[in-house]
Amino acid sequence: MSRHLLLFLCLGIGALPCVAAPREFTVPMSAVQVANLVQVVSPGALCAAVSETQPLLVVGHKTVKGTNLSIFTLDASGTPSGVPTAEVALPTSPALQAINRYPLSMAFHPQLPLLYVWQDIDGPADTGDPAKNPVYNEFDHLLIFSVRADGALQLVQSAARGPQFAYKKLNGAILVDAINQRIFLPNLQDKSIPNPNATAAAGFYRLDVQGMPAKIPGQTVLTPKMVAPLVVNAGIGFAAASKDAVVFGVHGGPTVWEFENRRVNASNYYLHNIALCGVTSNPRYPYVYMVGINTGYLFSMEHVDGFLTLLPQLASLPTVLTSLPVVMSKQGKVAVGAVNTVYALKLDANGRLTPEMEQTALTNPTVKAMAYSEKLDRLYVPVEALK
Amino acid sequence: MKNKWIAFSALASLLLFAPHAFGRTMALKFVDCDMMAAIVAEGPRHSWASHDDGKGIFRVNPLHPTSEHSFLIRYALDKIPKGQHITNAEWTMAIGQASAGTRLFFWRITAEWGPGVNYQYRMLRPKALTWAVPGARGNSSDRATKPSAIITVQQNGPITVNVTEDVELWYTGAAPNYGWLVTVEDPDAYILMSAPVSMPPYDWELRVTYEPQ
Repeated sequence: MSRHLLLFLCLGIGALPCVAAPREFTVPMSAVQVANLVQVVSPGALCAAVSETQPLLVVGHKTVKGTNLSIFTLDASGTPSGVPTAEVALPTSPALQAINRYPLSMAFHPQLPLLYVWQDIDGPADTGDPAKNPVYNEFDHLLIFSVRADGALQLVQSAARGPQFAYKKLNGAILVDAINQRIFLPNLQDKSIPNPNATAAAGFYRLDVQGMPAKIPGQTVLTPKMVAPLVVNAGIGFAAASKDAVVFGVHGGPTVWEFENRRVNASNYYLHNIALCGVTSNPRYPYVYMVGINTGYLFSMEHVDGFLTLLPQLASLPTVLTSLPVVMSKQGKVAVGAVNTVYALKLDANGRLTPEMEQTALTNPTVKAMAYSEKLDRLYVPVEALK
Repeated sequence: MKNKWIAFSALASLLLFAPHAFGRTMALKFVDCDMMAAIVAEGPRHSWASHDDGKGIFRVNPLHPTSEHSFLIRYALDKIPKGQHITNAEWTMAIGQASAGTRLFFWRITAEWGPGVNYQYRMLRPKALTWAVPGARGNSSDRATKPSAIITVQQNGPITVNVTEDVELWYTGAAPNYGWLVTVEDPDAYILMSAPVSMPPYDWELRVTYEPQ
């Protein structure tokens, strides 16, 4: 097929009127670039976050010259500074100094000048005795930074230390639910469960009015509220948080956690064709968007107040997807990272996926980090180099 | 030569029109379902809960119908061409484990249901509407007065239910297609079924045979 014919077909598909897409469909390749995508040179990126209250973009790396966070300032149009205006190394303890630590997920508080960072560490091996494990005794997974307008970060609190926090995890994301004053946490574990394949858990801390983790009434020490037992990898993104429930990604599908139901602690929907299920949502749509990481499958599923309902919709993309979905709410699209490419599928007026797609080739063999600013209507994608 | 041409034309016509002239069978699978839910009394806000793993994590595979757990499923029938007569409809699913003599009930749902469906509500969007009896168990209001079929499970493995009458009713428009409700009515019965989303050979299949009217 000639390139001109391919372009014609792609543009033709893009020009089709928006009709309800079937429940399962294959997405054709596109010659249309993802609109409002901004590439940011920041090698080895694992996660990114953009503030809606301050003109700042933060990119998290496994190791870059000893620093883990690169802070870029944004101009009025949302264009980032060419080089980071500041770089920050995540704190560690003497016993763990030689081991790589990395930010797995970051989120700005939607109203307060705070940046939440969920960090993880490469080792050492878990010997089975929590009392002798320096990670359980010295490593805080949750770091909270106050953020100045010039991008300077100051660590103001850290938390999430102990044997109920698993480590050496490669997937997981936090979610700040400012309305219900919670921060949701991935990769927890319940070591009291005898089955070693079902110790995974997800959890949350209550946040006080300053945005800091606070004890739940009745607690003497700060402890997350947890849901377990789940199979490996609990909390590959949280979505659709309401007063009563939240959806989060686990191995094999999405899970609904109803916080105060003692009989049905959680309900797990099964997607037979995926392992790592990453989830996200946006308040504009009554849908949760899910990706089968390392597959070509992107899903949408309706929810009511955080409870999933009816059947998922499946879009099969001709690629291997590597990031959580990111909703570009002003564009009416959901973007997802892949091998050297970012794809964005158009949503219909209700928030369902359509086969209308845009795609941008870039230099990043594993696009894991993306961040969207609704205020600026920009999708920031860290890359190894500009193409 | 002329005879050969006539014979060839007749054969070609036969091959071309035979499926329509003599009827066809269509197999409908999970992808052909447009609505589904697994609802439980213990979690009245959940649309997708069925089997308790013993620690309060409810899963949808396997399905675990009980006297307080129900399963709802609707197949879209728009793939069946217009102007046909439904001659047979058989629905096959797999039983994973069951206590001896467990009876599975298959009911035609008679009330519209939709987004947010759960044990209390048949839909929450666009407006909240409750079932007449929680769990869609109101005879003649939520579900038909009599079950379409009752199967006594004798052994594990596939079971097949004849649902010709229901499919014919829906196809002709004599009754709206709100799908089926699968229940167990005996509080002491125990059964685990593969979910429709399961991989073959444990997935569900509705085979509809039709012919021109």
